Amino acid sequence: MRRVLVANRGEIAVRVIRACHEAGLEAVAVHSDADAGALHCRVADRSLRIGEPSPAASYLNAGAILGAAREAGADALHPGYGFLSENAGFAAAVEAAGLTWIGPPPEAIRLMGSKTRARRLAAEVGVPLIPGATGDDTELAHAARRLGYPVVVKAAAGGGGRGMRVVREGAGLAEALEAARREARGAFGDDEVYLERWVARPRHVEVQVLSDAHGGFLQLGERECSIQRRHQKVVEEAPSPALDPGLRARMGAAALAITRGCGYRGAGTVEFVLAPDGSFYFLEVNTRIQVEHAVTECVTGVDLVREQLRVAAGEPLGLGQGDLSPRGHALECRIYAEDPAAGFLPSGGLLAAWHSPSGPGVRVDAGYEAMDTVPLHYDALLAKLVVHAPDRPAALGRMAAALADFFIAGVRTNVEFLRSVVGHPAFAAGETDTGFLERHLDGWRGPGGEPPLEALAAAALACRARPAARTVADHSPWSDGGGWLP
Amino acid sequence: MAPVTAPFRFRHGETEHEVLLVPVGNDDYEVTVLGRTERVRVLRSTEAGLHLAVGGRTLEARLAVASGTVHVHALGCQWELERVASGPAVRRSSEADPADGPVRAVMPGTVARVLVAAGERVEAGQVLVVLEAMKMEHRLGAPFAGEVARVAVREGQQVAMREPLVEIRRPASEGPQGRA
Repeated sequence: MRRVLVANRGEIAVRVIRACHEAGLEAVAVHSDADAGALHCRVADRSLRIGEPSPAASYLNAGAILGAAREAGADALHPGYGFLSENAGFAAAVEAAGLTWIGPPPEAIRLMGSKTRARRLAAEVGVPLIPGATGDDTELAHAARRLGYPVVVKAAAGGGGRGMRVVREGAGLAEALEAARREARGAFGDDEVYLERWVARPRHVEVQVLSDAHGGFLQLGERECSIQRRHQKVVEEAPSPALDPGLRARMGAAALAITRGCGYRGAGTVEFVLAPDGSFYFLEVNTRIQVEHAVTECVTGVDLVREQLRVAAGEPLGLGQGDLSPRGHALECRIYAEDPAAGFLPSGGLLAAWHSPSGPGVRVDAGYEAMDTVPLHYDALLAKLVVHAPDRPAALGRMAAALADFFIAGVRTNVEFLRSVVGHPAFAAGETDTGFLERHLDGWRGPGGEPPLEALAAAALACRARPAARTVADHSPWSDGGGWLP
Repeated sequence: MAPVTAPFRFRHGETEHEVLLVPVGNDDYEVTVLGRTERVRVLRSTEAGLHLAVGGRTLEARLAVASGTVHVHALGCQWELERVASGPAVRRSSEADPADGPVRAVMPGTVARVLVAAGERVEAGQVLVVLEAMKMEHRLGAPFAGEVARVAVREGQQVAMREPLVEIRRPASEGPQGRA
């Protein structure tokens, strides 16, 4: 392995390219027309165009990406997350083209991509599942009565909450099944659905796993990702405030059982639902690096992307289970280009200012810098702000200070909203479940404070320094000092 | 006597703020907001912002100006201040009744679906256009029942914020001709 093509964009492409360079590998980026000159292209050794802005024409365009890999002489491919990362057909095509696929074997992706097959495997290896059922509509109606309402209808091929419906009583089941099948057929081309019992106040807890081709299997502890909006994670942390050492060991063992059971190799995540009484249930396996992998890196000191490269190259993992001793507490806030005060509408455009926080225990994985343009064609994630501190209260304080220091202008962001989340007493108390944002921050309208004299004075001075009409004669390198005042 | 200076005006949300800036030395100003006056000294000025002394306290104000709006980050908070021309406030008549104008894009993005055609009758709230940006869909409905007078966009087209999408005409029966 010498030259890696990174088939992604934004912060994860930048993150992977950094890991390649650290490992002494060349990194080749790809870009759509909307991303020409983007940060991930600038930090790579070379960037190739793969198509028009729409994801289907570019980052989902397997043919164009394989063509770019051939043209660049790449011998390996890292898919990042999203896009083609969990597409078993693409993984197989990459291997068929003679490239190293930096991810799990295509068969493991295929197996875990089917929720019903994944559930069957979990049951076989003795990992608890939320009581549920598969079958035709009549069988599902019988099953729903047996399970007891409310029940949840889910798409077998789904993920990220798409195609999911909560049914409160029997009268709504037929309609929910039909709608879920229709939506699943449209979104995934597969209308298989299944039922699960609804769990009240669930936490989302997932376990990071890592394995190599030499029989090495590690579990790197859990992350809690309960702070979600419309099934989209917003804040993540490690460790979970809800786990004690016994529960942690049981969940870790369950994650390893599933990983071994599907012949896994590389970095992956086993997701669980954790009920308030401490019982946990298998949800799904994400067969790729996760957005929130950085919190695990902070508490374990393991560079997960570096390990992915090592495993793909056929080397054994750089450490064993006994070498792991997680330390401290890490939090991650996802900085999105969206306007929380206006129904979380996406926001794109030119980043007129970008100042990110730094300091001990502060890490920013960003896909943008000042004067970059945020396109509207892709995911709204601008950056991940990750902090690490000796304990959870210290991590909360560190996150609050870092968020206060973040300055992004030109596009609207959720930074102020995130301050409200991490500053909430219920969050500080660790009372997190997937209903947190709906319960505590529904209808959030912004911090609402009026600007003080200091801010208004700065704005007036800025306006004074930059007159609207500047003559050409004024604009010489000698008169343009670059500052806000003449 | 200090020179007479017109105040700077900024709009923050619904509120308008007036700032009077009177130079009293090379880097010194007297700044008045809501009747409170403070001595402000500019300690340092760079492309990124200003280091200021206000009263006895110093602070770093990060600044960016984009399309008439000053973005200020100071004291751990951020404000978007829209510059307003000096002089008495004038109400813009074009914004009198938004319900009477065309249905406009509420965000920049791509037109994912156009669900109506010119001449078609629509009910109040009926979805006319679906916009898509960053994997998020936004449905735009008719503000009142009527007839589609004009569809200004087609599927796949990129639209800017506030761009007109569809025009709805109120039913003719509401006018005097309807009774004839």
